[in-house]
Amino acid sequence: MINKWMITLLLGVMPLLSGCATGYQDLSNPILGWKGGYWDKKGPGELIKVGFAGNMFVEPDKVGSYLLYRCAEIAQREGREFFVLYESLPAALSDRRSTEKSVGTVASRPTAYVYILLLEDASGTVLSANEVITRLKPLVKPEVKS
Amino acid sequence: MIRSILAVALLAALQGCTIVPLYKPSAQGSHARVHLSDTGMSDLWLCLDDKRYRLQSDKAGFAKIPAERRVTVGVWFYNYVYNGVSTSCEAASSFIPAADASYYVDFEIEDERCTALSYREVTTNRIGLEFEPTLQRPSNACFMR
Repeated sequence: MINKWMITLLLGVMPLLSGCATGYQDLSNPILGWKGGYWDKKGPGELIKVGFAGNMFVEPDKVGSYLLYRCAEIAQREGREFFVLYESLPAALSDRRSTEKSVGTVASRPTAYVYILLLEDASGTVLSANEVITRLKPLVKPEVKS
Repeated sequence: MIRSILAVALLAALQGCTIVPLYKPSAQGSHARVHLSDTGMSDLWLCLDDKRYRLQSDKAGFAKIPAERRVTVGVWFYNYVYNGVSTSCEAASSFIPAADASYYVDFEIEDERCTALSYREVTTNRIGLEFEPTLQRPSNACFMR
């Protein structure tokens, strides 16, 4: 039976839970990393594997945006403007390029990874790090209005 | 009485457990080598003629496997802590390694399942890998139940 105490409790807990959603952060962050975040590792070859692990409070679409944004940041970190995105290693070996990644779940949490190959010039279906960052920045790193 | 109960409980617990021997490459015959994508806490195993062995990697992360015969290389992944949730899974791929060739086992966890695919390592492309033409689905007998 739902009484006013339960409603009060639910109203109190909901804002707390929404604050628990994985934000755009490093998975190795000692303070916030327990909620998930991005990671990357080099290899095989010249590929870089980039991943984002969310928790049960973050929407899969948002994880996809975070992942793509992180790929663009890594391209810039490595001094390249363009990159190719592959959904898997077989896709990379077949040069089947993608522009985004559909996000699945692991242990019921939205999580995804991609492989990226960095390029100096735009040839074929490539992503521009600048364009991705400009397009997704309002979603990934929204400005806080005072 | 208590000893009897404990003995029965121990026997029951041990039933179904198998001690997997370590694979020791023979001095004769040709060999290839295999290494696993970095997946954290995982065990690499080898299955020959439906018999399973543990694979031990050297300091560089490579393990020796027999060449020129069908082998199954698998990964048992355990204690995967994902946002506090632990789980385990197992995946493998079967192929015929070429003598002195090097192979990369790509182990992935995605969409609530895990996969392991083996690729031949090459230096002829930027990815450093190529598809292994002898790749096949592994025999069910290689999986512990």
